[in-house]
Amino acid sequence: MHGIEFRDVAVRYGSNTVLHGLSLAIAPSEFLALLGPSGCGKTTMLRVLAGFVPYAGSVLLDGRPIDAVPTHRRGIGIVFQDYALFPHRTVAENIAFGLRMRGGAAAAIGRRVEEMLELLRLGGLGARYPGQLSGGQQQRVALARAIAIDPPVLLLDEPLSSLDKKLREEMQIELRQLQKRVGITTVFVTHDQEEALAMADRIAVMNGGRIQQIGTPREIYARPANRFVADFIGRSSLHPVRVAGDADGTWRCTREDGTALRAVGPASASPGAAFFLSVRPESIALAAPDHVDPALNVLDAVVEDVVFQGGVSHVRVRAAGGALFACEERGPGAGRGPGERVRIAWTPEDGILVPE
Amino acid sequence: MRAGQQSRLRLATLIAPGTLLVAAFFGCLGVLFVQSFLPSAGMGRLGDGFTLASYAAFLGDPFYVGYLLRSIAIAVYTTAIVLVLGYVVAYHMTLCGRRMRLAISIVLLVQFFTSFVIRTYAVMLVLGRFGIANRTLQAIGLTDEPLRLLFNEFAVATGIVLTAVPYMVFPIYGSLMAIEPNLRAAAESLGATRRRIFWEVVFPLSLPGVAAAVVIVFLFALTSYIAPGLLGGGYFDMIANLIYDKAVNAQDYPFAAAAAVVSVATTLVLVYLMQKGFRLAIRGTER
Amino acid sequence: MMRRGIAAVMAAAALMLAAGTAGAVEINFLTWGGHYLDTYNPMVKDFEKKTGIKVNLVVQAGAKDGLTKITAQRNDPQVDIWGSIQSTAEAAAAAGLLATLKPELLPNLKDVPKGFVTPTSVTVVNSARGIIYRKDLVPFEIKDWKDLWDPRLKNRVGLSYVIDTGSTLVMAALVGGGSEKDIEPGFAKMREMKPNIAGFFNTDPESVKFLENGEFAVIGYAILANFYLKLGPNSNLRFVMPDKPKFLAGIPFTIVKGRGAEREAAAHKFLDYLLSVEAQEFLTGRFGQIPANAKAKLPENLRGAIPEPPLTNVYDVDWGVVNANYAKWKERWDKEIQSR
Repeated sequence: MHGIEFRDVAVRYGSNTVLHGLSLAIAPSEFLALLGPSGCGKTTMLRVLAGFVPYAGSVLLDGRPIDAVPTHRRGIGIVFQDYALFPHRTVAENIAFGLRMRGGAAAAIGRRVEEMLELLRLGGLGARYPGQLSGGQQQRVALARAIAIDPPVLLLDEPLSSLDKKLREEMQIELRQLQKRVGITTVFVTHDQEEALAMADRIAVMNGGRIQQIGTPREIYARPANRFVADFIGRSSLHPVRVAGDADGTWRCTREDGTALRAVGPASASPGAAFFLSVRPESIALAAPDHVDPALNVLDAVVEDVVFQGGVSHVRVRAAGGALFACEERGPGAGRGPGERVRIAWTPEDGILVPE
Repeated sequence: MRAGQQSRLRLATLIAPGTLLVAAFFGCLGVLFVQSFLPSAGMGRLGDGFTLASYAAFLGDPFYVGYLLRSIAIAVYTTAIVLVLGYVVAYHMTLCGRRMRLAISIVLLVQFFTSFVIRTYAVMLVLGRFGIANRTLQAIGLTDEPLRLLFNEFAVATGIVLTAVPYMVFPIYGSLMAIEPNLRAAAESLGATRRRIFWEVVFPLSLPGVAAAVVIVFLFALTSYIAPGLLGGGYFDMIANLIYDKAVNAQDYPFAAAAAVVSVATTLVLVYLMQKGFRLAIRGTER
Repeated sequence: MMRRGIAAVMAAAALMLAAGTAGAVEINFLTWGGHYLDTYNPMVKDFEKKTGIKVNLVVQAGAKDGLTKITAQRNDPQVDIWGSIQSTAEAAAAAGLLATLKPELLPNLKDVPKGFVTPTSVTVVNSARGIIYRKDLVPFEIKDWKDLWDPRLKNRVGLSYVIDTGSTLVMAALVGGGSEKDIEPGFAKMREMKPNIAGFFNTDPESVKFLENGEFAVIGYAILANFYLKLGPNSNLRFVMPDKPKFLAGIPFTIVKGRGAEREAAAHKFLDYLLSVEAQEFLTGRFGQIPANAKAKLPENLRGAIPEPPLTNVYDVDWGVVNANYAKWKERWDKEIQSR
């Protein structure tokens, strides 16, 4: 299995810098998601890896630079967002395309195509044209075609975005299982955080041509490295705070209105430093207006609105001082309504200080 | 009810001009067809009755059938040459910069909107006795006397080729531009070299445009009238020249009509076969 | 709304039609385009000023094309007066398309020689035929039809079968000792000329163009009117009217049958106007033609280019014979002469 490394990779189009000298290592057999809003540079990363765009810096495959290797000899498998299946070729011919370019024997190619049709549950569709297939089937043909050449790396460019929700969720699982089974190093570009969280071994969150954070989905979610990541991944209540001092392994900090709170944060933080306090909705408990617990952060609040979604209710509250918090209540809920006075509470460990 | 009537009226006014045109066109063809079976009474007069004499006169004389066969032959090979030239230009247009593309388009469109006669005279400026080609050959000492480049098949073919190129370029350019760029990227990532990308992906997918353009250019070449008239010097008249000469100079309408009917029928068969061939080649590229 | 609009348009159209019929007579005059139009336009205006009759010019691509038009309109004639050449005028007369002329409506006819008049046509002007050539491209002075066979003209002569309805072949027959009634010597002479033939042209403008760009150095049988304006002391073109025999093409004017008495009378009036001394001198001066009216003077700059009238040795082609054999000869010509 094969590892990839980006070293100070930069891409500029005229005066417009799309990637600012990124470095990133992808381990053999790893499933890495490049996640970010559109225009963040994630697709450019993929194009660099495929050799479609000129770049500065270096890309290494198994420790060897491949910068001088043209696309057609990099042997990288790509599944495009629109699948880019050859409309004038049958499914089998599409899958065989890369094998033919490599000049294998017809019999060997035929066997490999059969294998791929089997692997991707496309049996019996070999003679069809792409135009005669459903979206999900086209998707699998695109995968089969990319994998057939046994590439060191598989690149997936938003491959699920044109499928409907149900099919997309099925394909997420299928794709993940396939990747584990084949063990191929995979780079997956997506703007859909749920997809990234569900599928990737690690996620690289990108914004503005820079990597904001790399980590496992759990790390990214639980310990966002900065305000962008905290805001982009999941839902978060974010409030500017200033560090006042440390206490029992947590930081004491104050909001603009003087409210004192405790939270965890970087060890390097020092009194007076400005941060954002990030709290996930599921960490916040709604309590009675007279609830007291010195171990927790507790604030007075008034319910603004409630969105009931069956298993969970999303409750937005306005705390004293005007700050809004998003909370969640599990179960059928207490039937709260706007204007109700409550207290919100969360443990200091669930409040995270993130830099701007 | 009233709204329905109005929309029907509007539809009728929209369809009417086209219907009239088509009706007039088929009306003329019908007259031609009928006249081809009438006996000629000489000097433009038509007799009564039914006869196949005009068909026998046309089809029975290798000299006359020769006009049609010669026209088909020249149309086939000029179309092939124009296909190669036109494809190269169209393909280049998809790869070159915006300015170059604009420049090529302007040159082609100017040519497109210039009258045939002027374009054909332009060919004469090159191939003529005192044309650029002969002057060059004489200047570099390859020949003393001017060569006879004009008034032969070569000149007619050159005229057809040069005037037909725009008809080939634009449909092909259109179908090349319609090819999803990711298809080339996909082929490249799968290990295809530039040459193989072209032959395995680009060319097959441009075939619908090629098919349209080839039929247009073939018909354009087959029905050439001005190019053989001016560049053939009377030595390489094609079928249209024969029909015109028979109708206008000899005033033998039935013969001209019979020659026209045979030509139209032959052309229909050829175009049908061509379309069928292309459909086989294109199969799968259309959804 | 829409219906009212249509009604208004129809009312306007009706008014215009009424105005048209109530106004002066209009006649349609079928003739050649280009320089002919430029020439006839002022004459038509002058005529309208004098008589109130409006003359519309309708263009034919050639005399044969004119004949095609008149023939096609047989059941619904659109042309009143038609200027063509002798062969087509005779063909139209034979087909019964033409009105018999009324000499009483043509006072100027008294000054026109009898030979220029037939029951259905009057020759208004005579156009000289001959050889035209590039002085700079021909190494000797061409004087006679026989010079066309001179080996020094190898690959330099341009010809046309269709010009003057096969007259080139008739000329060759005469040179070879035959005539249109004995055409075989014509084909023999033409075969003999083949090494000298550079190519064949179809239309008058083509012949002018090919002479100008040097593809042809000689037009073996040419219509002077097409080159007249390009001749002159500084021109490199020279026109010769070989003497044995002279070819002179009358430009016969005919009146088309079936257009009604009023239009027919107007057409006669216009024809008579064309025969007046004033119109004759203007017309011939523009084309280098020879007036039919004996009282009209030969154009000044034509003196020297053609012999002084009255012209002798003018060959009188039997168009009946030519028309009857035209298609047959054309086929032979294409097979035997117009091939390499």
